[in-house]
Amino acid sequence: MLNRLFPPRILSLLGGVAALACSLLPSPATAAVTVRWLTLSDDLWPDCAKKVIAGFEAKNPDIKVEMDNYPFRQLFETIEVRMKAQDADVDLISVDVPLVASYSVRGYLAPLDAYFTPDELASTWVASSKQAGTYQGKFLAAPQNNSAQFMYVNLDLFQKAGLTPPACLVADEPVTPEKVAAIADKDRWTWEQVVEAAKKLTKTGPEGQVWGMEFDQVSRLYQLQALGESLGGQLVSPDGLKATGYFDSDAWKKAAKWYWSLFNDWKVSPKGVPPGETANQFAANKVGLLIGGEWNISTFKKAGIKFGIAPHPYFSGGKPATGTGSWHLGLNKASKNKEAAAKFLHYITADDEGSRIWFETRGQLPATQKLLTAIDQLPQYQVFPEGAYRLGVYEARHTAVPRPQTPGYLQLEDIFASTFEDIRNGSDPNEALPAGARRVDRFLAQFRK
Amino acid sequence: MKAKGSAPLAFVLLLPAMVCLGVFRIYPIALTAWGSLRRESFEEAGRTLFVGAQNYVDLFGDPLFWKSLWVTTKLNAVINPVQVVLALLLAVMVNQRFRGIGFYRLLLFVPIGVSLPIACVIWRLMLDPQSGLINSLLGWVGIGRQPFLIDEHQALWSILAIATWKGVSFWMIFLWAGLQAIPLELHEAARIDGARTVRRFFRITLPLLKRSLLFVLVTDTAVNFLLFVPMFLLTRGGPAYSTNVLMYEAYKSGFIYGEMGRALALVMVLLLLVSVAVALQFYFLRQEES
Repeated sequence: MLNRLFPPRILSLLGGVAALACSLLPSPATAAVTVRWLTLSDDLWPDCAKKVIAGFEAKNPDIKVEMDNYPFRQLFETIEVRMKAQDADVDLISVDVPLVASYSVRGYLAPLDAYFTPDELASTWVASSKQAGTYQGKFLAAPQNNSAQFMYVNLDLFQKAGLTPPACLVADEPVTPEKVAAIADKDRWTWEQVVEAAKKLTKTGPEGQVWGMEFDQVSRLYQLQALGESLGGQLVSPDGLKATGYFDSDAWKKAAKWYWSLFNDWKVSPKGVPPGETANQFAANKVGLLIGGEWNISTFKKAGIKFGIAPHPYFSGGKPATGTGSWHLGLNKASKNKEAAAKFLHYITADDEGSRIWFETRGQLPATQKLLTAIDQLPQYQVFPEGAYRLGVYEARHTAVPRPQTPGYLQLEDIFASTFEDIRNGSDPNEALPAGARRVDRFLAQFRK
Repeated sequence: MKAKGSAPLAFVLLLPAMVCLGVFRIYPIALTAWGSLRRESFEEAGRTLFVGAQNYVDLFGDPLFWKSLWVTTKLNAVINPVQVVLALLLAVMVNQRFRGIGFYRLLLFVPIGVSLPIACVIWRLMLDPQSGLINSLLGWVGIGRQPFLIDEHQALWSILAIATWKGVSFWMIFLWAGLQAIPLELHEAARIDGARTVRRFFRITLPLLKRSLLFVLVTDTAVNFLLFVPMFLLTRGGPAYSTNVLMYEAYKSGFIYGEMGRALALVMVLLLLVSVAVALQFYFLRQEES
């Protein structure tokens, strides 16, 4: 009877279909949550992140982490579009730390306080990094790493020009905390000394044009904030809602005039070279002094050039000030996988193993107290150039100035960059700065209502 | 009777195109217009509030908007006539038959095969103030180095040159096709009657090319009003906002500053500008035709 209703061929076909269906269904043992992370695609970032992800997935086989990688500029635009659309497919976003306030007022980030113990919140990171990830009492973005600014010195070019280089950390000399403190406290060059040396280094020879000095992130706020800060200038009011009177203050006008002179008067730096290419020029022996971040160390080491690392300069009569702050990690408020995403966030930002893998692969100054202490104590950081992290630790503790906390940081950063690019190209700082301040205020007005 | 019977068929045949027009043109424009009357709420991500004409009021009170409008108008007042005239001259040239014309045609088609972003990157290297090829060439003929893209008086015109290099061959193809549709007999008859080349061009070629010219002029204008890639890749609207066209300002407002209401208001202004420019072109060319 059964054979009549279901001939053997039909039964075997049904059995086959059922078996196939079962094989396609995920079994409980292999069911995995996928966490999607919106992050950078620049240089070695994705490769370094993959190593941390591998470490995390080995410990958490039920969670997979996948990255959506974008170049630096496009990342901010993508975050704006996808967060505004409340895109639940994104679980984690890389947050450039000054944007914490902006993302907070727009409701993009979920508070992280619940995913850390009170002890962890109190003691994992250096206070300035933890504070930078906090807005209106809520911890919204955990520090993934910090950053420090140095002055890289091309020793060969100094020697060829017959100049004495600034006191700096060099190969074959041990890097002790005492030596770092000594050169940072007593032998730090002023910008005036930098210009004098740069004038003598700038020349056109048989090997092409050599420039006296360059900035790594030309015209960007992160790089140039230290100029105004060194003269006591702020960019916005303490509440972050007003730029006129700050962005165009006398201190900033003086700093901007000095910046203008580098390109238009003394002509010790080139126009037209975009950020990111200046470090390559230094690595190609085309620049005498480069003001840049600690992430360049491995590039210059690989390039095989003879270089030293000196503390970031300051204006004579002013105070030493250096750029700081870097990438934090935030949890998308609209995420459907908050628990799993927070586990990875905890692993890479606070866990001993995860944060160590990130530091060792990425090579950026860490934000955790444990790693900073290790840098000061472990013998491997007594050797140049890795020992330069000790100078980074010194700057983070003594001269680092965080970027302004304002909900209009996106606008401020963009207008700052176009204003200083215009000044670099010859615009009068006394006109460009007030015009820039008015533009920033036009955008900040919406947050004052 | 025949016309009456064919009306439903015409409607059915037009329907797919009308649906596409509605979905891909009218609906997005309506959405843009609606969005330009709204502004982001800071209480909840993704939520917007109705603010009436406030985005337009703010826009018209912003000096940068007027600067961007001026830059957009200035660019289009020059680039459209330049591109159409050059495309016409090239079309007349490639329409000739002489030994080696195939090589020149191939050369003229090369820019069409290069994408605009790649063209921009190549031109940026060539226009580099320190080590660019163009400045080296200028040096050989005794002209000093030019800042090109980093000078507020040269940047817009440098972009115009790049966009023209990229676009003119494309528009030339349409005009060339129009030229080939003109019967040779007309030129022969005019030649026998003693008309010279210039006279034949203005009395025969140009009048018979009017439809192709209208198409090229209208489409080129619409494309150039929305020109964005060179500003995005080469100048980011600078120096001193000298290349900050409305399209780039709209992009910046929407995707960098997160002010979508302002961006959509800018796009509506741009739409109005393009419509007016195209309507004027239709009006004058039709009037000449009649």
